[in-house]
Amino acid sequence: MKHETKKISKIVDEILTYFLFHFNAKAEITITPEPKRYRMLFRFTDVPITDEAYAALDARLVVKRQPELEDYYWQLTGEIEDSNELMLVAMMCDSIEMRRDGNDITLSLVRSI
Amino acid sequence: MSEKRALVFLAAFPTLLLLTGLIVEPVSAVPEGLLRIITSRSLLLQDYLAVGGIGATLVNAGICGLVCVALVKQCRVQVNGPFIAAVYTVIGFAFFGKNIFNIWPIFLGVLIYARTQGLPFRNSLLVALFGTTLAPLVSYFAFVSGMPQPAGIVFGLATGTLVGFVLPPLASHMLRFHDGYNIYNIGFTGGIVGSFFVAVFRSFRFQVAPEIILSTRYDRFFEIFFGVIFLSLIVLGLYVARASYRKLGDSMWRILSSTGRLVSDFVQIGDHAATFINMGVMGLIASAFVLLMRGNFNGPVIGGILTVVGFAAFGKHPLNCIPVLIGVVLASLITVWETTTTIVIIAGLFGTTLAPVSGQYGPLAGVIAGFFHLSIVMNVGVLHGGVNLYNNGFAGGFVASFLVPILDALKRSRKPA
Repeated sequence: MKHETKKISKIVDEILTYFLFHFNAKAEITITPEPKRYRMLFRFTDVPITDEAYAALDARLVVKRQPELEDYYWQLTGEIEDSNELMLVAMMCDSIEMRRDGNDITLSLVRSI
Repeated sequence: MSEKRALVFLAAFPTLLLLTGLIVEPVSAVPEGLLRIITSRSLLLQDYLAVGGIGATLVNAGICGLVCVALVKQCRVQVNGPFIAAVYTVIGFAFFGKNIFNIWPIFLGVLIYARTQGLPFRNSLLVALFGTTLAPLVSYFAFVSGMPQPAGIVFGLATGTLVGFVLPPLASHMLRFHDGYNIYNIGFTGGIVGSFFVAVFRSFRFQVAPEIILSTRYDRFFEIFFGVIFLSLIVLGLYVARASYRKLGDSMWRILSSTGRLVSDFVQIGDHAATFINMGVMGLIASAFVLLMRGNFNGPVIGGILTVVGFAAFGKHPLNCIPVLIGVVLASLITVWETTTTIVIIAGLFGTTLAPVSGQYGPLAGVIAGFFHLSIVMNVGVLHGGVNLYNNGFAGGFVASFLVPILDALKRSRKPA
């Protein structure tokens, strides 16, 4: 895969932008490069998210990796402040796990290369 | 809906066109018509209905569509919104510019690009399908540039292959110019590539210029034909969703709530049933627009309608398209452009490439975008001399990139949690 580093950066950008713009949440991010994949761990605290918004977010993060779209559209990821290209993020990842504990949200993403 | 059934759905329309083409005219007239289509200029706006007749044109559209479906099947990509849009767009433009000869070099060029990058062809298939916007370059050099044969054909094939080779990296890069607010991104990319190539060719005394040839013979037939097809799409959607109309309502609402900005795959945002209904409804709206404008159902107009229908699976819905149509009509009423002409009508149909502007910033922004689109589209065609079939996508890129930063600056900050 080409532009792999940039794609990881854009995924991080998109997720971070989403939570900062919509919730102004405190964020901790850990990126772990492994030989054949990247792991991205996001911890957002004090997220004032409603149950409905959380369900909608969960629905948008259903992973469906689509290389036939990713190679063309990946540059749009993370480009717009108040838009949400979370569907693009879902197209670019092999697994996404989201957990909610009160007002804290943890997101764990894996992208194989 | 299973992938197999989705593929059958995708193949059904081009198959219908192919069979209709063999029925509406004597079969013996089709090969001669196809030859006229293949050897025609194919630059904007060359109506294949006027060049090759209705039978050959429908057969050409059917075969081009089936070739695309075969590639989708061969590459094992999902039949989602982007690929439905791509197949319908190729079929639509097979009424005026794409034919069974000139699309292949573009595919070959994209394939060579994928191979040189070590990528599977499926990763660039979408660009290959949409990239046939520059297929007229092949026809131009092969048959009408005045080059001796067979050098002309060889040069045409080589030029098409080269264009296909450079399209994938450029198409991805050009997205950033308009940030996904111009749905026909390859139209914008094709406009840049076409302008580049044509500028060079003009330096060598090649005369590349648009020429308008339009048919007025088959209006009634196509009004009824496509009316039935669009109604059938709605019925199909209702049939597929028969298990739960409440779920269908939810899916339709998700589609209608979408801004339409790239990448808005309505099959994923909604589902197949809601997407089919949206396609049918958008087809009826596009047809009604043409009839209200007193336009003819000629090749370019049919291409415009079918492209709207295809992109109703990938970003367009009534709420984000109608404001743009209104904007184009308002512009035509107070500018020098004649409202009823084909060129204004297709500016409206293809102007819905700016639907995401309306979807993101509201109907008034959509009207403004449509208003400016008409003026811009009338001025950019000269740059590429008509070799880029998605001229409205080229213009839409400029309009979106001009308007979006301004609209963004004016917009009140909101945080819909």
